[in-house]
Amino acid sequence: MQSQNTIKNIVDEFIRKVRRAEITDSYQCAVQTWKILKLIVASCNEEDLFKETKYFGKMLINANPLEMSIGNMVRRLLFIINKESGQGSKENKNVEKEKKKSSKQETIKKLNKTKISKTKTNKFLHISPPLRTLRHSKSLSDFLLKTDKTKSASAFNLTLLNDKNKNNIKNEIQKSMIDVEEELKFTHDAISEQGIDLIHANEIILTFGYSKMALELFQEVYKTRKFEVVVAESSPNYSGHKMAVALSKLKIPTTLINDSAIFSIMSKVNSVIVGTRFVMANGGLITDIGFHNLAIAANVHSLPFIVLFGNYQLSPFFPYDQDTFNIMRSPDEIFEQSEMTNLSEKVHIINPQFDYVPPNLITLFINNENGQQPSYIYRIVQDQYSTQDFVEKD
Amino acid sequence: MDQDDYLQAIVVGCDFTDDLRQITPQPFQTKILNIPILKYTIEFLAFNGVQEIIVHTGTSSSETSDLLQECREFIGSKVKIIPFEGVDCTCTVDVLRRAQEELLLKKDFLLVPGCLISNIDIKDLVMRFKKRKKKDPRNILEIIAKRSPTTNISPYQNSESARPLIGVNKKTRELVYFEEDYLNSKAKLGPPLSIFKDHPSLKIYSNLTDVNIYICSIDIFSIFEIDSRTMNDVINVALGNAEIQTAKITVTVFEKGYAATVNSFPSMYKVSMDLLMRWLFPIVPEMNSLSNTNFRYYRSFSYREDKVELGKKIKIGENTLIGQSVKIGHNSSLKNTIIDRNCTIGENVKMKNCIIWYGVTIEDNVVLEDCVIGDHVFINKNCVIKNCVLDNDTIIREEKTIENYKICSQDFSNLKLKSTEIEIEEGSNYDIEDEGNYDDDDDDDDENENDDENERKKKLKEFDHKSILGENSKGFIYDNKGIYQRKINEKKQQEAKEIESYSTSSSEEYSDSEYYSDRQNEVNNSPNSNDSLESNSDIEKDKQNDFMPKVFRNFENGIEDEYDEYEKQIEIIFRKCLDKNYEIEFLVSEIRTTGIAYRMTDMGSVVLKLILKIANEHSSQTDSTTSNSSLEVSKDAKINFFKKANSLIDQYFGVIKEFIKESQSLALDLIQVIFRYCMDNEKALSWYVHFLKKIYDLEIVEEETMINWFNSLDEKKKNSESFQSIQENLEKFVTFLQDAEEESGEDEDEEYDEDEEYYEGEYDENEEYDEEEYDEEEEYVEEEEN
Repeated sequence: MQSQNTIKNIVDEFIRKVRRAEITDSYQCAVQTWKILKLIVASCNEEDLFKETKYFGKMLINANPLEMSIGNMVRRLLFIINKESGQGSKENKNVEKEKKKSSKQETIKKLNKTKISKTKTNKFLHISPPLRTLRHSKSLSDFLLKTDKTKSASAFNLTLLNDKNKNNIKNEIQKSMIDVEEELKFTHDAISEQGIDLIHANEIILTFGYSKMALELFQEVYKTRKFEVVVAESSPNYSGHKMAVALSKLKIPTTLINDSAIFSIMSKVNSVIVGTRFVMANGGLITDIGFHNLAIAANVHSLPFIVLFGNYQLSPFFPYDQDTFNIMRSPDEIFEQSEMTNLSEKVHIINPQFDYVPPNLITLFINNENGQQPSYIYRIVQDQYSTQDFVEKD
Repeated sequence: MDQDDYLQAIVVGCDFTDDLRQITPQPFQTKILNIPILKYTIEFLAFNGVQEIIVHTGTSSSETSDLLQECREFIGSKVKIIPFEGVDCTCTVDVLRRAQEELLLKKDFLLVPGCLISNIDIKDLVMRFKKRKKKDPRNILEIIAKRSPTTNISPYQNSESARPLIGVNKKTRELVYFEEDYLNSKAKLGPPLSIFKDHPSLKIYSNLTDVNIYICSIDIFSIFEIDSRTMNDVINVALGNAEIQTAKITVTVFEKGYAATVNSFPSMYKVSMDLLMRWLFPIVPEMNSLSNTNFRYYRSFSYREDKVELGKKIKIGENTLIGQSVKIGHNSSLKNTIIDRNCTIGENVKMKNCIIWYGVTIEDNVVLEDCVIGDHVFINKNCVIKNCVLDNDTIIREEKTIENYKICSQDFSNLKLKSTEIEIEEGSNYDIEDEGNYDDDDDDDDENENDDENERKKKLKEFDHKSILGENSKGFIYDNKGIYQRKINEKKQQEAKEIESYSTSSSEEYSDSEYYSDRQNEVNNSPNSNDSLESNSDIEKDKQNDFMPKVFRNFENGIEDEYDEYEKQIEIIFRKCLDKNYEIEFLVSEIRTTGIAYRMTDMGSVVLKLILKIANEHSSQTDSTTSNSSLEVSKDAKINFFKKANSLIDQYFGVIKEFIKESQSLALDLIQVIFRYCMDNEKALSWYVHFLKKIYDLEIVEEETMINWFNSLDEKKKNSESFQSIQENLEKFVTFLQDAEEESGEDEDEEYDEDEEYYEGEYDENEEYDEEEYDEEEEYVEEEEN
């Protein structure tokens, strides 16, 4: 078990790395965030679990609010904790009513019985603040407040809960966390398996910039059928160059084009398959700059615009314009520094990192499980996150 | 921890030429975007994998240790920050030596200034340096240079950070040639040809800014010499011993990334704007990574923290940053402005190009332009403040218009003055006071500091603080006009005080004329002293140290300042050419390439001035018998002077002509240059008409121009005695021109005699005369500006 201080240090170190842009890959961000969250869960008691997760979660999210995979993972954990602790209490209640006989419930039942025998029922209700408060409170902070209030009243009762029960809920949480970890691990595999339905033989596929998912998908499909890939270079980070090299190493016929050539080459292309940075709750994308052009070009030519994403990239927010989820990068990247260009003071150089692609331009999403319509994304969001974790403001 | 990966860095916190000291005792406490600059430096080092940072503080004040504690908190436990006092260190090399003596440095280390802001990634570079060092321990130093960025700070750079000329072996990246500040150096032009032979793949950079980041091996101390002071000295020494191959210095040039040093108010403003424009990405305000802030980004590079209260109809322009709990009244407008937390700003306030620090109160209808305003300043309503620096805790309680001042809240007797004070007495001789009066105050690092109490009291009297700032205001003027107005003639000051209606506007006039009399004193002085060259260069050095940089570029008299610098540059080039007997075409193209040429139209007159100056030096050198203090100038010296000047003009009139072209207005400048020079210089006076004739003969100036000039001059100058002495000849000459007849050579012999006589009693009146003369120059400069 790690002490709070060590965890603080680990969190700080991670935050510093994110802020210095030493970790830019959102998959890596997600994996590392999850590791840290596991440490946090392992280190604290069940009562503090929610509070601690929230406290550190906020710090992690603030490291770079636009690196949404961090926030996604934090919210995922909060959702799991909510669910597990809520379920636990629910079961407690059910025990009284239905007296189910699952092994887990057995123990809980036993516990409850002992408790009930010693205390009155109305007091018992205080033991399970999660159940009562979660239903009636609008936000997490509300919930936390209520827990605090009830704490003193239920202190007596809490002591009665033995360690076994606590550990059970914690164990459940940790089990669910491992599930998520597995999901994270096999995201790329799960997606590339579906590639065979997307690409037909001898097609020309257009992709944009570097995406590990797209690369693995192409690799997987290329084992069975031949096709060509056209890569747009994705200025100003030029990750497309990396993609083109990686594809050619796999012996896939590759063409590299610049971003401005996307529209003109679109007529020769059969479909567009791209990775993304984040998928938003409305089915839109927040992703590297230049995607909007690509999506519109594909739309004009009525080509399928297929977006690959892992669940960790799914963000519960609703974007509506280009500015809200965006950050300006250094002009250095797009502006040549030389003596001839001393006028830069008078020129505004704007270098946004992200682009918002509205959902109506997207044909299909492919995630870990299967293909999804943009309009269905909000459902997946609801399955992953609880509303109170991202609606609240503080 | 693996010993190989262990990396130290030493931050030389006290920039020894720093001007920001006026507003903060420690340059690295200067706030850039409301965050002390040291944090940026430390973040840069930590980002590059430094595990131990030694910060040279120069003092042990509580503020500094607070700041360091703050840094420790934000940088985390992996990086150690060690304060290192090094109280008496006066230069970078001193600091290094002291650190070495105290065994702070263990292995390889980075050397950076405390005012560095950068996001360059040098991790790989450090690794490579270490590998190279393992192979060959002679690799002791790596210089990191930067292509002059678009965000070019060079126009504002003081001469300390001038551009070097660097020759690098392309393959090995080894430094083979180094000339610091090549534009101003008196060395021969360019690198020796032999290095091209020795290094077939040589690359010469002239467009680099030395960002003062060095990767040093611990063995670097072996190449320190006793008189090395700056790293440039060290490099020169190492290169000087190149044959022995004791040390190898490599250079890496970065094209991308941002690096800048903040060492003056203009650079502070410039860097702030760059940061707002996100050149330092990923360190941008809304990341809130350096401090406990909560900025948000709004369009057009505008940033705001929470709890900002904005009135109605506020115009927030581009490049603005507003801290927490700032209140701004209705109808105010701001542009290119940074406001720190807890400031209160009234209605209808206009702010442009300002940096406002913590807790400032600005009342209604104030206009601020090009200002740096320190913590807790109070500015009364209806004030207009332009191009000023207001120190912490200054209070201005009256409705005043204040322009071009630096204002301290402290009494001068508490203020630490830098550098040797140069006092001008009525006799217009520089009296450079002895160095060596060390200050006991812990803040002082500069040897030149001279804290004579009397000196301070004198300084106190220099300004009429109350009339400028208002009766109830709290503040003392540190200097006015930044660069130009440093030395104050006390006599003038008293005169000024006598005038009852001494308004602020008149004070400016006064300061203008002050400037010219200063200048004139210099001019007057130099030919008189035997070691004029030496003392001049001394004075120049002092100027570099002591002069406040001009606060901002669009400064009223910015051009004049450039003009001075430019003259210096031309002089260097000219002297080079003179030494080497270069072709005229070469000289012309050299001058053209200085870059200032296109802005300066009167190149010809500058060259002419130089010729006269050089001729003068020549004559005083050859004439060893003449004692400098005496006012007499022997006939030989005069003749020598004329001969030399004559031959030089013959030789270089092509250059003058090249720049003058056909323009008669420029030719008029030429005449004025000669006139002024001759009036200032007794050697030259007698030859005045000859010079006029010379340039006439060489067909540079047309008759008509000369006659016009003479006519316009008449009314003003007739009273002056020195003028009268040449008037006769001048009139003759003019008549000659008017008649366009030949024959004026006959007059020459007569003139000799007359002039000698006149010299005897002439000098005293010269003083008076000159003041008048310089009034005229004022007008002349104004014209130039237009």
